[in-house]
Amino acid sequence: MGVASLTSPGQEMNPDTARTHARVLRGPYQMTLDITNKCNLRCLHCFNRSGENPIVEDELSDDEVVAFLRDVAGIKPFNLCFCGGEPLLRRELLLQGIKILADGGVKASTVTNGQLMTAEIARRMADAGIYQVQVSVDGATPESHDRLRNRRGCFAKALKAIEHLAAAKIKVGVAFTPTRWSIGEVEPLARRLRDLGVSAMRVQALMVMGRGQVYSEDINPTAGQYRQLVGDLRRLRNTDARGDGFHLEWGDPVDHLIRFSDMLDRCCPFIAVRANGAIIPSIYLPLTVGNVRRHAFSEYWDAGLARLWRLPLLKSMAARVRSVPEMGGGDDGTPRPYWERDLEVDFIDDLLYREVAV
Amino acid sequence: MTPQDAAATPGAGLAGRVPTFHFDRLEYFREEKEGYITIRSSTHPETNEVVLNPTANQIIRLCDGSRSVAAVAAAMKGLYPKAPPDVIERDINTMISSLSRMRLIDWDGPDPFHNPHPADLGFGWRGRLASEDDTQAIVDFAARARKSGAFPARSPAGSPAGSPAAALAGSPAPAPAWLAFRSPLLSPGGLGELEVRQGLYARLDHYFLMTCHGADGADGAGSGAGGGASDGADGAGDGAGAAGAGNDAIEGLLSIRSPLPYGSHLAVVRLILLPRGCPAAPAFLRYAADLLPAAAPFSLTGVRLYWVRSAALDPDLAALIDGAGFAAEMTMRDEMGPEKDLIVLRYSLGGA
Repeated sequence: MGVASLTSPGQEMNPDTARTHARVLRGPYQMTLDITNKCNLRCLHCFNRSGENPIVEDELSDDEVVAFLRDVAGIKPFNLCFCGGEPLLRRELLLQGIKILADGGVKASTVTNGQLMTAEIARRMADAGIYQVQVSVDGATPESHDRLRNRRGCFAKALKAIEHLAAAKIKVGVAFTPTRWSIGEVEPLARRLRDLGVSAMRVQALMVMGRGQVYSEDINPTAGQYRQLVGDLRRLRNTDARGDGFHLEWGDPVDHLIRFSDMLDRCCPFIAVRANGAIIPSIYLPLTVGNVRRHAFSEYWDAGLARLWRLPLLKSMAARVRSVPEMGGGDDGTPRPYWERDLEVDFIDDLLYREVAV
Repeated sequence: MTPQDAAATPGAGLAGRVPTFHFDRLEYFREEKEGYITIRSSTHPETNEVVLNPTANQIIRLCDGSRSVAAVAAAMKGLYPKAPPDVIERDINTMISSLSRMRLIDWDGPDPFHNPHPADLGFGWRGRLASEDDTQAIVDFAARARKSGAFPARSPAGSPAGSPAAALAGSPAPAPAWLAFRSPLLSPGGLGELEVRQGLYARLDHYFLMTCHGADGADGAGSGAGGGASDGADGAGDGAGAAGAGNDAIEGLLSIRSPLPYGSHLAVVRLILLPRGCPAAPAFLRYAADLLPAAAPFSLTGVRLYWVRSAALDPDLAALIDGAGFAAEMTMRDEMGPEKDLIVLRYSLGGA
């Protein structure tokens, strides 16, 4: 009899245990897929330059996406999030994808700017088995939100989207990106969102990447403003007496680059896939390690993708980004993420699995 | 006898108890390769994905409510006759302890891994250590106290220097029903269900609870907490004044957080909510101090209490803290902002 054990891959640092996990896990736990990088908005802070980046003209076809999702459903990660771009630009494919995953026991979630949401679409999402939808709301007023979203009327539509989703009994989260002008609005926004039935609000620093890098001087909050924001968030959590489960999160976009590289390199249960099928270790790094057009995702996983973060190339790229201001890259000869083509290697065809074998 | 003396060994009497593993409480289950499985608890999603090796997988399938822990061990010994029996028993106990904490195992009676260490505090009051089962009661109690004005939005400024009590004391607090304190450094959160439960689950936050029982308790409450409550703010009648006879309703609590940094041995007082005038309050603090070393998962040498000088502490609470044995450790000038010195008091745990 072997010693009975109960271990958490997301936290485990014991090399032997992590090695075992990498060998026995059928797939990752968390995945994201950019179902499209096309977008109906041109938000000033968009980190991946949706609508304009080098990927939008080379996206997976509907059939390719379906084949990928069927493969994923077979290995059953805990969650797959459809990201973008604006996922609702591929509405029918999105709904089909949600159903494929839900039928396979995978929690399917999606992000949206809410502009195309209707009561009918929300109902169809619920019917397909969606787990959660995250709507972007970047201010407590139309002026604040629409200024960042670069179009009038977006705020009202985003809130309406939340109403449609809540009416369809879909779990709704909100992503809030603070800007120089909206950073003081977290408290009134949180109150309003709670009243709308939102379950969680994730606040994350504006990423100095993509269009966010171009407009950084105009929109990026100052260090003093961020300090105030963190204080506001803390106070909000401390004075919250409603006990209705509303979750307020201060997210850190850089955290995973350090954690995966330093702590989870023997078994990392997270993988992302770009709209063109490229498999990427992080949505913030300009490195692809495979493509589902060449091999099925499960083939990459079985080849040892869990140990991806042991690649020296990946470690060195991640090591260059240790803070939010460093995310834009481009100063050291590596491609600027979402401006230039990624560095492309293939975990199987380039025999990279040999480099990560332990 | 101290509470530590009374502390039963966790898991004592386990062999005869019947565990039931609840697959229906899994929000995620995946068969991995080589007999491994991954599970994720819907009652404790913060534990994320947990991998069970083939042996653990076999154990949980034996925990189907039809056999005792001893019978589970016997079955495993039958499956693995060459394995040392004591290793098998140890593995099973460790495994079901973890799964029990994750609320994936139910028992044929009280949780054998939790001892509430009940103690008589005198005057009809009792103290006990909270378990995860108390989550909702704690949440409700804190909400009731808050509603009845236990935590005014602003405290009057100014407090004299001197003894710890004098250093802390200021103008009378405007919440007559309660002696209330919350740490300016540690987030008490909204004392919402998620945070309370996670703190209890992780053995990070220790909640010592007061309840009032019996006729002499009613006397105590009548001359103390009950009297205070009757003069209290709106809702106080449902708050401290609810210290009625003979029930297990929470009427007071003390929350202490274990040290987070590795190597630290100082816990921190996070929250105090006591009915004003309760005659058992000093005994309650002594009880908590005695029990804390046994309740905490790490060795502790003391407990710190932080206070901001610009915010006055209720004089009655200051006297209670002073009487409990907290001593001034340091003052951090302007630590919390201009004219907001942080005062640090420390209670040394005996024998540590």
